[in-house]
Amino acid sequence: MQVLVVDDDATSAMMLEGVLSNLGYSVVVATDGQDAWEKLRECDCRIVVSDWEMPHMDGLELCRRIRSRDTGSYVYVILLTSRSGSENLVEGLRAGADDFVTKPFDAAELRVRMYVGERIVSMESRDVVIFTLAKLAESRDPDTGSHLERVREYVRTLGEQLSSHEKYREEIDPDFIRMMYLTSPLHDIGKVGIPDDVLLKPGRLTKDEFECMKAHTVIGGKTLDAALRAHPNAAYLRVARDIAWTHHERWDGTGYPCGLAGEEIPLCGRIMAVADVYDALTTKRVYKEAMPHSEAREIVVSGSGSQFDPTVIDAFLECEDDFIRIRESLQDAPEPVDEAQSPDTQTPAAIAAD
Amino acid sequence: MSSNNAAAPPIEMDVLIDRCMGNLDLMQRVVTAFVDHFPDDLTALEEALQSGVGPDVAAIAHRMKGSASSVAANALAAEIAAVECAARTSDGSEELPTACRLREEWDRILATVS
Repeated sequence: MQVLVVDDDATSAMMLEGVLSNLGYSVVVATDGQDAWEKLRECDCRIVVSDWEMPHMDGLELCRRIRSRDTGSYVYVILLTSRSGSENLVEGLRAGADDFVTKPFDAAELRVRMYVGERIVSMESRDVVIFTLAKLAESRDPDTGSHLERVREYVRTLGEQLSSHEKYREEIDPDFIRMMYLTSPLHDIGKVGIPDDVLLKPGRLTKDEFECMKAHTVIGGKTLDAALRAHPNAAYLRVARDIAWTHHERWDGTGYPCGLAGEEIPLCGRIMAVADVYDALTTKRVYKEAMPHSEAREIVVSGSGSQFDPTVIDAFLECEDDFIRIRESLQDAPEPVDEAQSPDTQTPAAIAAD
Repeated sequence: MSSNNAAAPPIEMDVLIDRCMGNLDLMQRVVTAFVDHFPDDLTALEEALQSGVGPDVAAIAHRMKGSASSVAANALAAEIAAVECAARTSDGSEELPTACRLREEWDRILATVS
């Protein structure tokens, strides 16, 4: 487990780093709160051991910032302090500290307090619950295999590539990528509200049925919006809602459900759209073979400026080797053909609303 | 305080070894880092004391106290704590203490580790 040690005193930091390394942790060191805040955005530290008094940003302010940032996993904070008394304890807890260790620390005490922290962060189940929920929704559509696993990898790859583009450098940071990776599997969560006779229909959808299918974006978006209203500080729910609601919008404004155009569509929705369509094209269905990468690439690229954000397509082309690798490493296991859904009776209509 | 300190070891080796979980290599590295960094801090503290700016003295002293405590230089840490305390409670009207005793204690440590 990665641990962030924060101390402006080099000797104390080295001592902490050495002891925590002895205990088997991978240690990142920051010299003050500001440095720690920046390092937290770059690495995946689940436990922070921070001095209280530091220049630039002290341990209390660091705690407050960590608690106001709800992007991914819970970060457990241990404050190191020579302060005593309940006033200081209350002040630290109010700022968001989980535990305290007295300076100079006792190695045996630090060890058990670290174990407590590990227990707490390992109990966190949000990421698992999110993915399980998505898999549950997906289970109603047995034709999608490892779709969720692949799209979140595609989304992460696109996000990382776009983060180096001038246009999106400010908008895409490691937190944004982490949140997209976490929540992209929920993009089709609204399909739980689509009746079986439409969702599982083997043949072409009628106009009304297609309208019904399109509602999965609104159902998913509204569900996640309700969750966001109940937990307005949960930034990841905002990303999840935007993805669910907008991943079928088109750059030219002819998509659904709202007909948003260009940058009216949240960036996360624009990224998701490319990942989702690429996966649909390159995946075998009972009514179609998997398209080779070159063919799918051509279709995706032809949608630049009409269906897709051109900058996202540029990023796609820059990292297409990663797409190929992800696709190959997360191939669906071959499944027996269900005779009730024979290739002859399937049409691409269903995939259009995937 | 200093009369008691004179009898105390400059670095309480048993405490330091325990803190390093018996890792002598770590102990060596930490003491070396301490010896490398501390003189600069001591000079900075002396300058801050001369300029008489309480908050500066307190901030530097606080960091030095942490550093000395880490390597179990407890007598030195106690001297620094007295300076920090005086700086924090000073309203600017009284003189801040000097760093003479810190220098004496630091020399004892150097004699031990060299």
